[in-house]
Amino acid sequence: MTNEPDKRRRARFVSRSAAAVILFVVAASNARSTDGEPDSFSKGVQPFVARYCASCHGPKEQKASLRFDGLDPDVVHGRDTDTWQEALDRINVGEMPPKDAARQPSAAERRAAVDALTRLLRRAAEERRSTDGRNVLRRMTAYEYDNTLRDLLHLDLRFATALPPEGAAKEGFKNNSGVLGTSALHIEYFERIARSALERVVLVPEERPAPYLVRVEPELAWQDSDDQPAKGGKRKKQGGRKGSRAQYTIKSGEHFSPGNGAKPPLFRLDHGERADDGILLAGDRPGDQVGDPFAPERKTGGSQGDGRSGYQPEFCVEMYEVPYDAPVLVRVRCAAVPGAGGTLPRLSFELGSFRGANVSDQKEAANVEVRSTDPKTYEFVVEGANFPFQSNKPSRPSYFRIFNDFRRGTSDLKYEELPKLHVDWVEIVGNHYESWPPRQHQAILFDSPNRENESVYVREVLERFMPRAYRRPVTAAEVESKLALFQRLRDREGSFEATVISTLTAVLCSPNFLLLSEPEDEAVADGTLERRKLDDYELASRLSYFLWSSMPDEELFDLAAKGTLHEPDVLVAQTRRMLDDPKSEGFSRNFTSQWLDLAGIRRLAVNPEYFDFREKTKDLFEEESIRFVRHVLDADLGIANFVDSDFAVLDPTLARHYRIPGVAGGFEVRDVEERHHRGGLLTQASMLFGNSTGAETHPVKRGVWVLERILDDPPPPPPPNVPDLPEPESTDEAGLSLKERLEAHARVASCRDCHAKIDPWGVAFENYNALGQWREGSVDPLVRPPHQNVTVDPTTRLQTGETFENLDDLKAYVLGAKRSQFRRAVVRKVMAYGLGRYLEFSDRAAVDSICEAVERDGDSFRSVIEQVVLSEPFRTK
Amino acid sequence: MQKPWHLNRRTVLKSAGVCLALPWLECMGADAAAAPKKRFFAGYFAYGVPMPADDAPDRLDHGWFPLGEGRDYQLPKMHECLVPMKEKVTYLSGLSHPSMRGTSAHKGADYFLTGANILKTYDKQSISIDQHVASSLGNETRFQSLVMSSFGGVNRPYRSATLSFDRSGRPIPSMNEPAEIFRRLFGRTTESEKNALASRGSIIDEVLGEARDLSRRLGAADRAKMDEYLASVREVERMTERGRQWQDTPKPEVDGDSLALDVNPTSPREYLTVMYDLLALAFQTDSTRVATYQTASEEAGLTDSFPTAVGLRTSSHKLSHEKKDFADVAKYIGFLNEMHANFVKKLDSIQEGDGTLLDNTLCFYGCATSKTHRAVNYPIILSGGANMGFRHGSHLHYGDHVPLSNLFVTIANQLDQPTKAFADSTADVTEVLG
Repeated sequence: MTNEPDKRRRARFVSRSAAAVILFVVAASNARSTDGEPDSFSKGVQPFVARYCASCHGPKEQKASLRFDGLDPDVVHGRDTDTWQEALDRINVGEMPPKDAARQPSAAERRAAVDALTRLLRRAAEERRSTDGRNVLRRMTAYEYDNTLRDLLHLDLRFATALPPEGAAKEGFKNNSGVLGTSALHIEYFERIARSALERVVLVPEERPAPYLVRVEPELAWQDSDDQPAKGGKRKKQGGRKGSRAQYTIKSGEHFSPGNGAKPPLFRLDHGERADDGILLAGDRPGDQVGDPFAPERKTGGSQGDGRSGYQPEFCVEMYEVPYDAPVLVRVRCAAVPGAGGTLPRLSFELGSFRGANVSDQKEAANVEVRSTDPKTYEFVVEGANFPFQSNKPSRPSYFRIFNDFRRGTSDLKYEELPKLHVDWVEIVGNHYESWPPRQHQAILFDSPNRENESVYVREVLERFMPRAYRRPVTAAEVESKLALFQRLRDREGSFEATVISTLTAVLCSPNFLLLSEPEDEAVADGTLERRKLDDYELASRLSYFLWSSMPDEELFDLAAKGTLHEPDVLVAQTRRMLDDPKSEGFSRNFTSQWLDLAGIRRLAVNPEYFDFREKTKDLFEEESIRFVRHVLDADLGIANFVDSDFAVLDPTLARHYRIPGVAGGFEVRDVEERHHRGGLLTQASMLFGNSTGAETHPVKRGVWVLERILDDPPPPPPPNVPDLPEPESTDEAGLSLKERLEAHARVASCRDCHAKIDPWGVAFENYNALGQWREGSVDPLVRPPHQNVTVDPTTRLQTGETFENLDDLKAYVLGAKRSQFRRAVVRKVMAYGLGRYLEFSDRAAVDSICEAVERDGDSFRSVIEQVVLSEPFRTK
Repeated sequence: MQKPWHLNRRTVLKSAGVCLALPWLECMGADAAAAPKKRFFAGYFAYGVPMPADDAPDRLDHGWFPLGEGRDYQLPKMHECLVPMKEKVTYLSGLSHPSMRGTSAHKGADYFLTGANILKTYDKQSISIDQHVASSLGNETRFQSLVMSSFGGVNRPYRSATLSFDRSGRPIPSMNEPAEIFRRLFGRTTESEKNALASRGSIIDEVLGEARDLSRRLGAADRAKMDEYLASVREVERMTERGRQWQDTPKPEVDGDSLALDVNPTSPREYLTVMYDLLALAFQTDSTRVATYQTASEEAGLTDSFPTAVGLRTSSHKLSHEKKDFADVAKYIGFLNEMHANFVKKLDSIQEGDGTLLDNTLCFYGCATSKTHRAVNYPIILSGGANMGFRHGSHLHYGDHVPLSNLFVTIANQLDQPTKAFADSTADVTEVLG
């Protein structure tokens, strides 16, 4: 090896300082386009390096074997990106230039160079993960797989629970092609899940399973002649007319027709009020007095109080051996007894099973407002397998719990003023099939004149099933191939149905089903593709996975078949229809939780030394944000509501958490006033708690969250080996508020530049404690002693000079001066989610025009979604 | 002495109280003369270890690394639980993966077992040592390997939730739910699964055919993703072949009721215990001979609250940043050591052939950082594997220049996978052998 190149290079230079400058000039002009950062290097980086770095890392000296004039000045595309990153890290933390160097940059010079290099390196990172602005084929996410099977098989089961959890891309979206790998374990589970789902649908002919029926007339437990056992069973009764419990065992006969040898069910009534022909259920117990509306809720069951939520009057049927792998029908005959101000009861029921003493798993199956004062029959069909139902301990009963979910909450409604649910009777039917064979079976194995001719019939079956599974028309060759598979398997499998199951399992393991791909019609020889418009079937899938997290429905397929889906007015009409469909829950839930990083709630534990907290309230934190976004969508509101709104979506428990009086009922959209300090996503516990330490606030995390999620201006990652904010070390520091500690931390040169950009955003939230509850002054009474002493000071000043007195000012700033940046952030988030990839430089024009259109539309959230759908990137491969 | 596994075909996993019947294992005398089995376990813990200065008064109370080299070393307090095993345990210091020494923190799981240079691009990710040895050790068992973590899945590059990577450097998803791991290992084979196995070969052929057709119509970027899918289907094809060989052998009968299969990482002690128990059971029943377990992820999550197991409210990440008072972090790492030690002891309590299960299992356990996020001087505990030539009882210290991959070369060669070089290895490490 020789030193030839080096020698030659060195020989070219006359004087040290001139050398660096000359080379940089030459090299920079040779650099490729830095797309949108044309001057960042030549004006921002190059002069700094030439002036402060080149003397030690240049032609004369190469300390640490680093020589800047030999580096590729094309930071974005060049080969030395990592060295530039390293340089940035060192300059950033103040390590370079060293303190003893003769020339020291001013703070402004340092900041300018750091900013320029940061921008270039961010672009480099984008380049590195670039897919040339195209969508790359991707596997369905676990939740998309779940929903797709649900819609394909008409079977509402949670299929994906055993699949490995999905990771999220750096900006939070799980449907990003780059992070969705397919492993052998995935294929193993896809096959297993597909087969067991098909086994539930494609049934071998057999007799219809006998229904398992229980009918409960509650008054049977309340017969007046005290010692007379209730008809068909015995009863146990405690207390008087109100506030009492009663239960009785339901015996075979009129009200109970069991499966084989099942133990009889038990009916239990807790704190209901007796009425003619039934009972009255209120949302609170008759004996509960209106007192401190913010007193903690009664805890029941389990060490964390996470057992059954049954502190309300309830109507409960405990049953053994309910056939859980079949549908269950629940019928409730009831009427509303309106309360004060025309309030209405909410019929709610949940299914669960006992895990141990006073501990059970449960899940709500329905929650509806009952409006009619005349008795009506409400029917719900549920799949037992979706519920924590007769889990692994068949000796423990499962239960159906009916209650009135209109709770007094933080209002001062007296018991007499609460709306009541008048329940006449309840019927539970296990093995409930509307038809036999069930309709899911008939959807696959339908009636046909050719049914007797197996090979003809199977072709019909495949011709109907495969296009829906592949989300496009299938070719004759594709059907032939599956037909051949059926014939190969037919002899080995025991029956026609078993062979159909195996054949359709192959369809559900096919890349055409599992992968969302947009291939060419013909073989591609060299692997390059022209950018092309999507065909209408591909467009249908993009739409449905965007808005429903699932496959297209018949209407989308029909429009694709007609070839009109791509027409802009059709696209907009479909987008609106899809957003109004309950399946758009797929969007509001998945987009919201990934955009806002709601998973942060689960990652964090509440420190019990600081707070008395029920773990289940975390579910409500999550629910609040999802329902909030849902409401903005449903009511066609503007995106400004994400930052600030005059409404909140609350239930009594959240109202208690936030100290908002007068909230009764269930989860509802409610007006809020200034004194409640709520409005928008920024004041929701999901964000405030998710970006705390579980004990104290964490302004840095909150600041990063605002920059990343609301302004789409993520701060650069911390340089290596930067520790967390240190705990107070000296006694002097121990007395400082967190804000003061942050300021002390940010005075350290190495932390200064980054934190000056982040911290002020987070400090503005200081009026909200770690759980997102309002606090001011020097005592936070919602925290347990001895941690109540705090110094709440939300005043802050951005690096750019704006000052905020409190969060209101921050909100006003975002919606004012930063409005277009915020709009752009929302557009980019929705678009990245809709496309399932990172946005790139080449998307910039599309983002610009979406933003313009959205602004013209008055910044409504729906128009963001519509404009994304209409955009070029969404409609092209 | 009573040997219950000979008398009634049942043996007891001592501390877990798990009963299992072993219908075909060598204890029934079927192949007692066969060569001892060879097994490999690799475990990982997060965020490095406390390192008080050598002359600090709390060096032995709170430090991780033994003091002194060779056989006469002083063992810090946090390893007390392994003292009874001294002659079957080696402590290693100084080793690291050279190309990743300059990396920023929290990426250790991504390269701990691969030694790949992924500093600049993940494209250079390569096979992990467990999968490397699994290609020879994994052929005689129902499962080629068992990949576990407390997080599950793969998460994302540079925040891996798995230690294991296949031949192409693709992450292998880890399993994290005890009940699901149990079902896969020991769950009764259902009729449906038997049918599935019989048809799977034809189904896979069909799917592969379709995948190839589709692949021809894809652009370059799509094709790369498609290749991943194809490779996975082919892997399932191999697994199916293996499944067929095993279809007439019933799965070992293990009574799951005595295992707390419904725990999750919010109960760290119980969770780690059941995960280690499942590993021990997998080895004991010879369901697999290669396993990895990433006990915690270096990303915010439930595992960050593991210190609650010893009454600490501080997150494990925050503990790892402690610079002065190491008492808490030492207490926490001591807890992780105890969990790992219980596993090692359990393997040693189970007879196999002339020795114990531990003698036929090499356990490699450690972390890819030492002092607060410094990716050098990995803390490593090597135990077991006496029947594969490993000799213990020492603290071996290496200079900073020695790649950890050198040890991987030795491990591979001792575990029937002849290997000249692994990742950036420069030699092998003979000191760990007898």
